[in-house]
Amino acid sequence: MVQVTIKDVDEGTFRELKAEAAREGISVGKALSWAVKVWLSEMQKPRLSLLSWKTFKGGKGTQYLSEEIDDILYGEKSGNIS
Amino acid sequence: MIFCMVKRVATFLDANFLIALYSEQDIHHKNAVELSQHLQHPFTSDDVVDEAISVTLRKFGKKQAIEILDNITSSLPVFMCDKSAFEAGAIIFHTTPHNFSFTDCMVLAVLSVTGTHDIATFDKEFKKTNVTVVD
Repeated sequence: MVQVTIKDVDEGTFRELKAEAAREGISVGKALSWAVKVWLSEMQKPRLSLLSWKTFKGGKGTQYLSEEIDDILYGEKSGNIS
Repeated sequence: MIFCMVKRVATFLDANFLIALYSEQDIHHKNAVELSQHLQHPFTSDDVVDEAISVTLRKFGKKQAIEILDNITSSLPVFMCDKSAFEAGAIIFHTTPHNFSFTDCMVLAVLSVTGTHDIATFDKEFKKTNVTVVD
């Protein structure tokens, strides 16, 4: 085991880590080691290139779809912010 | 999933970028393909995946929604928004002067929580913030 000082840790995230470690009855160090292992396995997972995506030809009238997401999901933006 | 601070250069992919990359008819498709060749450590979030799949499902159908979901999960890390990110997103939603949806605010929260500066998006509203828009 090593003793480390870590700078610039997000306060909210660290608070949650401490709380979760307490709930699980383990030390913060153990919880952090486990979290880092999970993160490393996620980041090191082999991934396909974005260029290998199966694409879709799309349909008529969908050429502006990427710009209409908010309108489709939430209705047209009113622009009123109060 | 735990997703720690991103110290290396990473790029967050917004829903409109994912849609543009998937749909060949989209006006931003070629641009999205071009950008995809240069993006470093791209990732996205569960909220954004939700948006991309919901729009694809509504406009193209279930088969295509599954296809874009599989594209995303096989090629990108997906940040799962936790309590900390949610609270940050809520604060941004309360205080932003910009015309953002709550999901947009969650995107800004994820960028903040992960220490990411770059976002690939075609939403011009993000250019009014202090993040770097890659388009």
